[in-house]
Amino acid sequence: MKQKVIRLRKNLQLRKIKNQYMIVEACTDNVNMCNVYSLNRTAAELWKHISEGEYTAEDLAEWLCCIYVVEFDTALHDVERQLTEWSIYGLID
Amino acid sequence: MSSTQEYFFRVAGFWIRIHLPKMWDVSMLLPSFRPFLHEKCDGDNVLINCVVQPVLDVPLINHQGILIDETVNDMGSIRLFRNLNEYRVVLSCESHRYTHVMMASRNFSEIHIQLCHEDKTAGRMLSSLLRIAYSQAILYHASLSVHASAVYVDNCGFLFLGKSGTGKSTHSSLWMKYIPETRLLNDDNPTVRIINGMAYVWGTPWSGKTPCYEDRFYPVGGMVRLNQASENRFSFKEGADAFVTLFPGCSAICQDEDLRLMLYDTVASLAEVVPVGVLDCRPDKEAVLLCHRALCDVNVTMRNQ
Repeated sequence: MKQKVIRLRKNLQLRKIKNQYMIVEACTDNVNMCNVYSLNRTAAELWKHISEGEYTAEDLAEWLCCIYVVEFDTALHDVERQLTEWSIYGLID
Repeated sequence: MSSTQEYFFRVAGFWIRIHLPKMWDVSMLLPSFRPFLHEKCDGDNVLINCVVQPVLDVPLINHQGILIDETVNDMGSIRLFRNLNEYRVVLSCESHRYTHVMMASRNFSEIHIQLCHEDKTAGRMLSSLLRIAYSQAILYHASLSVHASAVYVDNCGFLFLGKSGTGKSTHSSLWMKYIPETRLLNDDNPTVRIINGMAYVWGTPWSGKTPCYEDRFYPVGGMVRLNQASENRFSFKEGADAFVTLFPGCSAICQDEDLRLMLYDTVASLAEVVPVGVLDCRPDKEAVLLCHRALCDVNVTMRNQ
């Protein structure tokens, strides 16, 4: 089965304040307010990587295996968990 | 012969050029702008070019565009319309007897104001429209109009943010009472700019009900959100928490994506370079000393890093 390419929602920028990462999203019902999502370093790197190309969850897990000492299945599990969370918050399409 | 007179104001280092009808007395119309008035513009870059046209009565305008915001305050109602290339701000005083209209380019660098000069509060209305335009135009220059009360002491500026009625002005006045040499910089709308990675706070012509129009600036020593509480407690905020602490006090037309993203960028930069805190407080001496001590200590630490 063909894997789905992960796409970030438009105009959501990753921002760094000191050593912390965040994504700011305008509230749909009141743009004068906003939702702020904190990301740890790995999640931020994952976000940045997704923004730079077209990747499936498996691609991302393989990429994680290249930069961290981690088994593919563990990496895939972590990637899918993170993508599910972002999907619930509407940060990815 | 021109029927208008040109005036130059410099607010927070930004030039505003205003063309007014010759028969109008600018210092009577815009008294809070007096300290910011200059004979000529000594820079090339003008932030806002404003033409004010007197009208007896603003005709029932075909408000082309989409109504994107409407707010009501003690001055009346402010309605904001947007179309492809411009904004239109319609300011009606409480009785709706007088209406004033500002047409602005999308980046608020060119504005045209139809001012109903029969209105005795026409000057206040003009000042209010200029504040709206200025707050948006400065976003393009890593700068923010902050809803805060600001004081300065020991060559440092401190800003107190909070919802209306929280006690921002009261807290500032308590600093002036209990921290020697503290002075008020602005009581409602100071400007914060980030220049070469440093944040500075400026006085402006917009200071709410307190007539404090200071054309001076200081490095920012701290930005503190105040919450009323039965016990005094101070905590520093960092990263996303600092962003969340600052964001609600910053003015921008958030329906405009460009302006919104610039606002996010500047607030994020600000959260990185200035101490940000939350003070749960009573309106008393202990709250002031607690806040002052915490900010002084962190500034010493930052200077030594």
